[in-house]
Amino acid sequence: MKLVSLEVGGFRAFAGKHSFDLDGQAILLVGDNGTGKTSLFDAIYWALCGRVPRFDGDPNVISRWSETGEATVTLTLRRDSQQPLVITRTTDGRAQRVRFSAGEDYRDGSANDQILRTLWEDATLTEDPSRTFSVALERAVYLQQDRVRDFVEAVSDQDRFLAMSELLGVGRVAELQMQLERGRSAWTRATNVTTGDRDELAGRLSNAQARLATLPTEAPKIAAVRVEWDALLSRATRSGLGAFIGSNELSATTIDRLSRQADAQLGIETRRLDSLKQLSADLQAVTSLSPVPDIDLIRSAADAADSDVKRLQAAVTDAQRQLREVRRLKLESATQREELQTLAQLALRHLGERCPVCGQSYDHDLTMHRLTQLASGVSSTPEPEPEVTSQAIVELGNQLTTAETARVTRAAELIAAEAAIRDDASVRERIRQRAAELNVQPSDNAEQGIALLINQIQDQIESLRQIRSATEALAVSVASISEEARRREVLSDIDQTQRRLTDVDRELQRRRKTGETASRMIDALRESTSDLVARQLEELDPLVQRVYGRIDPHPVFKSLRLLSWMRGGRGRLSAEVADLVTEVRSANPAVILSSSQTNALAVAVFLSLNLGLPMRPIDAVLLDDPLQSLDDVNLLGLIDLLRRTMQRRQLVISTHDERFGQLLARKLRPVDRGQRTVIHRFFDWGRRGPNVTMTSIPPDVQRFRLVDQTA
Amino acid sequence: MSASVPLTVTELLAGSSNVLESAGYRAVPLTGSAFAPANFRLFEDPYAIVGVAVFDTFSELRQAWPEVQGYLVDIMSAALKQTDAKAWDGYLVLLSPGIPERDAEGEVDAIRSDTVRVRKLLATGAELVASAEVERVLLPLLPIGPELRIADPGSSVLDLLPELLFEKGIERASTTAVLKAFREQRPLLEEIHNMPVE
Repeated sequence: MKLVSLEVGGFRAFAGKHSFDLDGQAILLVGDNGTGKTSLFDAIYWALCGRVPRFDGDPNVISRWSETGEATVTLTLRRDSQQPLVITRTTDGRAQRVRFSAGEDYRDGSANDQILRTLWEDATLTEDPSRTFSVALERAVYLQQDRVRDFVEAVSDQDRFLAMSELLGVGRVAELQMQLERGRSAWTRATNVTTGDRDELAGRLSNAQARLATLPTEAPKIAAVRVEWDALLSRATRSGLGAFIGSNELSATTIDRLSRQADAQLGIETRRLDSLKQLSADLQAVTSLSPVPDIDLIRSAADAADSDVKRLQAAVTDAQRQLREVRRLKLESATQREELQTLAQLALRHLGERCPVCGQSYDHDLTMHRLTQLASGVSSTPEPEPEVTSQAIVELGNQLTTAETARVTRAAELIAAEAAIRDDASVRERIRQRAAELNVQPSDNAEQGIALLINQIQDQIESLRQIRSATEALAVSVASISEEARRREVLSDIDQTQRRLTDVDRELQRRRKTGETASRMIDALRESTSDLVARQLEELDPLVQRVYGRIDPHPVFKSLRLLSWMRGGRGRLSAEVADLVTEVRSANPAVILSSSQTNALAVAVFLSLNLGLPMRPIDAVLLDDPLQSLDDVNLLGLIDLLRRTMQRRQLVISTHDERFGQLLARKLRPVDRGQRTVIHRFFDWGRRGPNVTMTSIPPDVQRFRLVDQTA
Repeated sequence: MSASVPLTVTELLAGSSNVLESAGYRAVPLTGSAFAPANFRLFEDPYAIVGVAVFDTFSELRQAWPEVQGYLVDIMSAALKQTDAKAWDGYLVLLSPGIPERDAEGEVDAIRSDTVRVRKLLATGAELVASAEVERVLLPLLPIGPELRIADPGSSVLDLLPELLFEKGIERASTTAVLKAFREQRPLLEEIHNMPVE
């Protein structure tokens, strides 16, 4: 696959649209630094894989003066005379759009996939195909000017080994190993889940076996139980329970329903029996009750007793009032007599012929007599006497007490009579109600009927008790039969579980075997990675030797080998130079060789990889100014090598040195009419990009001048 | 230090001729051979003109190479114009079975590094003990070809695995099944698991 043409616009140094003819064995890009040569390489690289490795940290490839604000690169490639492949990649700085034309048109994701499948299908097996493709391009197709010596001196042994593994296709082995490791982890997790399921199954089996031990090994015959059931049903029907069962089916539910119904009916009949017994007792109590007293008579006696008490109370009160009046009058009379006595005594002492007070004359004797009587306490008015006496009041009081006692007695008699009447009414009402409830006519011969009824109910209760007892016994029998059936189910479950457990154990054994095979394969692959790299390097060795020998950069270290080895479980690789005469070797050429020689060696390794890889993305070598820091002899050696490489690979080489440009033009001239060497000269870079002119070197068709002249 | 005996002058001349002619060079008859240096051969291919001069001793080589170079340049000047690209593509191969003295090694490098007029390729006795080494000296003049591996475009390192892993105790069928699943991006362990039990 070779490059045919490139169109760029808005990309890095190319703000405007530029077209480049790349259809030739050698394409030379000559121009001062900063005129866009590297941008052209980047454009090819970017078109192929959508990356510019040097700008991984800043992936924006759009020119600051892009006319559209986008960068677009169209790269045309062709394999021999087949139909051209056209990749058009565009970015607006946020997203890329890709179009790939290869007979059919593909876009974006499918375009990227198809580009990989067409150019380097090996990359599609990796986790990051785009990155793998990019690394392959970087290591074997595009030698960037600032990374010439990376492979020799910058990267570690381990990185070098990994890069080489990728290029030699051994990276796919590592990828396979990695996928197997991931698969094994997932497999182990899934196996652990299955192991958990297996343990759960084993637990279930153990539980079933424990449950089996609790189940009876024998049960009554179903036929005998059915006979018992039928008999019980008949009996229940006779006892009036048939209608409540709802089904004749022999089952725990039906039995339970019958048992409950018998129990409920038993309760009803028992309560009815109690009521009848109570009614019977009430009827007997009614006959023994005293006749109801004459309440009116008792109430009249009570009222009369009450009237007596009230009358006597009034009499006592009146007598007491009279007695109190007499006493008051007597007290007033005594007071008057004492005052007159005192006054008479004073008058007797002071009375003369004449009144000592008024001086008038008076009847002396008469007065003296009167005063003497008064002075002696003799009253001229009689003492008041009461109409009633105290004795009479006492008698009245006694009569009142007697009357009150009689009244209390009468009142008690009245209360008792009223209570007796109420009790009588109550008993009769209860009898009436119970009789109504029990549907019994409380007639004179009710007691006999009730006694008969009680006997019937007692018979019914006994029958119900027997039914209930029979249902319980039957329930036990049916439960035994059910448990026996359950036992059979458990046995079946145990059998199935054991079979499943056997299957799971077998599957687990297979899964573990698969995991072990994967582990052994992973170990073998790990060891094989190094073996494969060593084998591939061994095959590559003659080419490396001869490519290095063509440049021949060092007078003594004339041999170069790429050596791989394992350390710390990881593959490592270095370039070893050797003096074949003295057999002095060094795995660190940068220490021994000069800068120019190291550059030459790095280019030799790069070209060896390009020429020697079993697979490569494109049949081209892109060298961005590889001639810097090379002395004359190494420069000539490299150019001679490039000239020979040109016969195998398309070369795209840039140089900032016009003299080198001329040298390259001479050295890489076409020597056949079918060959083509093109020079693009870059100059006068401006905001729209560089000015570029293109010339083709005419072929040197006279191939053997000296031979022809002497012939 | 190799104890091998260096090739003779004749072997070196014959070996050089064989290598160059096998690579597409044609020998150029030397006209006026009376003026030609001893043990000198001239070859031409579409790109270059190559003079091969073999000296008995390094000392002889050291003294005579400028003269031999002059002879080569004269021939080229006579045949080519200065504007001919080929006029800039002269090579002088200087060989000698003689071994330079230890203090002459710098001189060897100086001759090698002298790119005036023509590029010089130089090898002496210690490096020239087998005919293959003549080819190694002439490598810069040879086309790339024989050393290139012609790989089967469809082949892959993965194809080597069944045999390689078998040597490490993994059944070929298991490896083949896993590789098939890997290429088809299917689960790998399922592939092993579903393999028929032998």
